[in-house]
Amino acid sequence: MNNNYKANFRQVWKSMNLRLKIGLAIVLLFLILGFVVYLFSPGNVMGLSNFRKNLKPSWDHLFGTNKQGQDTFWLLISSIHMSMILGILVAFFATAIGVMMGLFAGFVGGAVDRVIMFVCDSIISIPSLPILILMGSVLKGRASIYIIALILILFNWPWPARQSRSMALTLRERDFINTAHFAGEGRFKIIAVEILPHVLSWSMANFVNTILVAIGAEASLAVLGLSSTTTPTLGNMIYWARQYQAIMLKQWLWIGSPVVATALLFIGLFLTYTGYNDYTAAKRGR
Amino acid sequence: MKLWKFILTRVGLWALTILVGVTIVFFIQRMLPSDPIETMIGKIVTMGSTLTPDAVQAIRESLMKQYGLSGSMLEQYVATLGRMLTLDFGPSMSSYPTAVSQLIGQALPYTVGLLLITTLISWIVGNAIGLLAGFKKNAWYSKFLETVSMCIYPIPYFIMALVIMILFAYINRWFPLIPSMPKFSFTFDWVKGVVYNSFMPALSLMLVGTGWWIISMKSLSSGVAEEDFVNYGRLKGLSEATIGYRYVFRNSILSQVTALALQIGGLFSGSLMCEIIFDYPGVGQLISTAIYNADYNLLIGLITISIIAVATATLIIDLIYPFLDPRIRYK
Amino acid sequence: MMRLEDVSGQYKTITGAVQAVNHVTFEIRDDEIFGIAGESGCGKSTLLKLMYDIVRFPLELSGGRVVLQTKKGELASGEISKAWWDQISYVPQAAMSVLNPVYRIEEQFFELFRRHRRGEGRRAMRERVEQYLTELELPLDVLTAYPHQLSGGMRQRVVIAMATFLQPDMIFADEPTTALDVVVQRNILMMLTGLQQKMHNTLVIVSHDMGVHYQITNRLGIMYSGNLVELGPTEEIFAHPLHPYTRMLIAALPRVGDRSEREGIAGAPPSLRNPPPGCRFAPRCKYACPGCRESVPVLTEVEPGRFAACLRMDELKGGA
Repeated sequence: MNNNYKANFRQVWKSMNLRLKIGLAIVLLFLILGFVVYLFSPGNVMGLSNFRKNLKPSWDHLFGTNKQGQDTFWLLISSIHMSMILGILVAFFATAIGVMMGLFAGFVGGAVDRVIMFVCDSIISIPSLPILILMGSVLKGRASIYIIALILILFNWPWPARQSRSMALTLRERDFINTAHFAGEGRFKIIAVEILPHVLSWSMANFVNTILVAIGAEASLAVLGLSSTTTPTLGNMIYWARQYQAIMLKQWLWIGSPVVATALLFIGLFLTYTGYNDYTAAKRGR
Repeated sequence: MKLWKFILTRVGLWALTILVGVTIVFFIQRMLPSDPIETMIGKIVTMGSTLTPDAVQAIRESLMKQYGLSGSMLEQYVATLGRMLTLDFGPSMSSYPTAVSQLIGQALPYTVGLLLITTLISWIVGNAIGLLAGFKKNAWYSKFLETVSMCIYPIPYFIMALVIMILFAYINRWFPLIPSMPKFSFTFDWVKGVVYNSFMPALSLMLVGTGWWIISMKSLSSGVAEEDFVNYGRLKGLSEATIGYRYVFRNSILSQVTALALQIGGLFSGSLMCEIIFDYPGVGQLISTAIYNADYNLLIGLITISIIAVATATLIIDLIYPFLDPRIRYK
Repeated sequence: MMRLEDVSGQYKTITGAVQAVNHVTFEIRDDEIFGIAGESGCGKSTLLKLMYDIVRFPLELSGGRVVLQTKKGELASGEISKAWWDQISYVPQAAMSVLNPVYRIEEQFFELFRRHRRGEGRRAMRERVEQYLTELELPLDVLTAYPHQLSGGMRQRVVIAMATFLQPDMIFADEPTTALDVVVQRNILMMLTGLQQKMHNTLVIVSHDMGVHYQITNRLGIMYSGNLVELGPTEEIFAHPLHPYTRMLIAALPRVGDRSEREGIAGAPPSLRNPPPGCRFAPRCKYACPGCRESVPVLTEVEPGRFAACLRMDELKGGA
């Protein structure tokens, strides 16, 4: 039994292109940092004056401490943890809701379709950052990270809805669907058995991309001080570092580690996204 | 005939987008949990600005008008729309009594200039490189360029901005930390001053932007390069240069124009972030001032202008498209 | 005109090379219409590509060579591209999608002019093109149109006009009538024969439609599973087919006045990866004998200019 899994895994691994492999490796690294290493975190990383300030890196504090008296290393780990949770949460719900709405609109058609598409197009065509900034400043201080997540889900469900609706429309016309329909299969069964696999593979790619978008949006808000400033996220870490003039004070680890971590995480997610797209395209024989 | 229909539809969508955006802004204003007016008045008074009671009352009234707390919801909404049409957003609270529209008017040219130039340069350079990479997709430099772009593109604009700031303003003191724009004059000195002070934000925008165009143009042009009519062009004995330009480029660039339209929102947001990080005197910095001072008038004005700007830029590009694609222009 | 000397071609795939054309040798003469017939997958399109020298991965010339002889000299496989469009031209399958969508038709004609002749002023070039189109009885407003505005049949005719515009000595047409309705088919065939009669050049037509070959070709070659199995003047082949496969191809054609049931050819062509031993047609052949499965029949000249590759052809010559 075990051998089967190993063999399957090896085969799948071999067929993946380099881009996908590197991307997954990076994402895996961050998952380990954010969820495994995180388990050892001492908690309450955001507490001010936990430790003496501005200590150099040592075995007690791997990255030293910052001007707020926080342990930089554990702060980073917690930030990665929180940012990833936010990203995955938003991406999951936005993609799930979006795909369901899109398939529904595509199959039912008519007025329902038009209304849903109107809502989607409106949300898509309006630049999100200005609106997020406005919302952020209105909720300033009182926003918990989960409210931010909710708002981000609101902004990110229309895109997968649009895409899955087009898929539903094209698939609806395809012969094998009509065959199943004429053979008497119920509508929902058709959707589940025939359509879902197509949509699922696209959704996976979109899921990864949305993680990227969500973390990016929260980080942008955080850098402006509009996110939940008491929650450790990558963006907030950068915000506080800037507030305390970390660059001027040459506290490279404090400002540098979240910057590098964010850049690396995004590169990893992006490589996974495009690598996965190439992978599925190659499997389809394109 | 079909062309006019196309233009009309696009303009209609433009107006609709702005309407929806303004409506959303309108409803967000009403999300404020506590009475914002008194809070703001309180803040202004405690900030110690010398305001006469009359001035305070004027602010209160304008705020009441802004927040439309006079009249029914519908009246408020219509009034907001009306004011928007005349771009009247009332006075700024942090720089009373300067009108919001005046402040925005001062900042907007810098933002538009920055965006226009960086977008143009990165679009042209990115597409050129991408075309080469896609056309000669088996050459070593093609893979190399693509890999480099893939590592640059995903980096969020503000991260790139921070990296550039650290590298170019702190470690190497090549560029100023806080830009100071020279006063406007039609001289070369003015241009030099602006370029020097805008270099860092421009570089951040251009690096990430170019990365994206390289990647998308490469995949587009390598796709087009496989098409039947391109192969046939070769069978006709046409030179590689002709094929590269007339066949591959002219057919790929169409999608890139559409892609540009879709990206405008993202580019605008990116430039906002860069402006804020670099303290660049554009719309972005104004937004960060407005946030810091809780200057809601200014903020609402800025957000509305942002929505209008993005929608208009998209419209312009959409209208250019038919002139490039004969399939839309005829039949 | 064009000589094929023991030409073989293969496609390189991940699981090995697939031999699509095997040791084909024949000759194409000046001032004739030569047809290549056979069912789908027999290798005729590949053969055409090898002849025109469109040899790009994964296709490769695995043996022999093609020699093109024109007024300007001799060119062999590998150099034939120098003669492209000037001395030999190509009309591809599915001409619908071979025109550049963003340029008007006249621009695409001008392109050819600038490349192969000295580009003249636009007015002069346009006059020439208009003159040519009038000769071919094509409407002049085709010139200012974009490809997507023309119908499939019209696009096919435009492609043929472009291919013959510079008056090359040899024109290759791959399935010129497939995917078109019968009326347009007839127009295309008339256009092609008209051109040939006027210019006295050579036309090479690849088609699975025996009816097309019957109507316009002078000489005909039949391909089966990568091999040339019969060759000769078209009338002769139709009157007295030598190879059993040819016989069946002809028998499958409907004839006016003949109400008997058409006989199809049972079975399918063999896999090119694992061809059967001996004659490749043996599994489907009515007349197969044990010897047929042992040795591969060689293309032998039965009469001057008349070739066939069948072990039993002498015996079978009697019946029609």
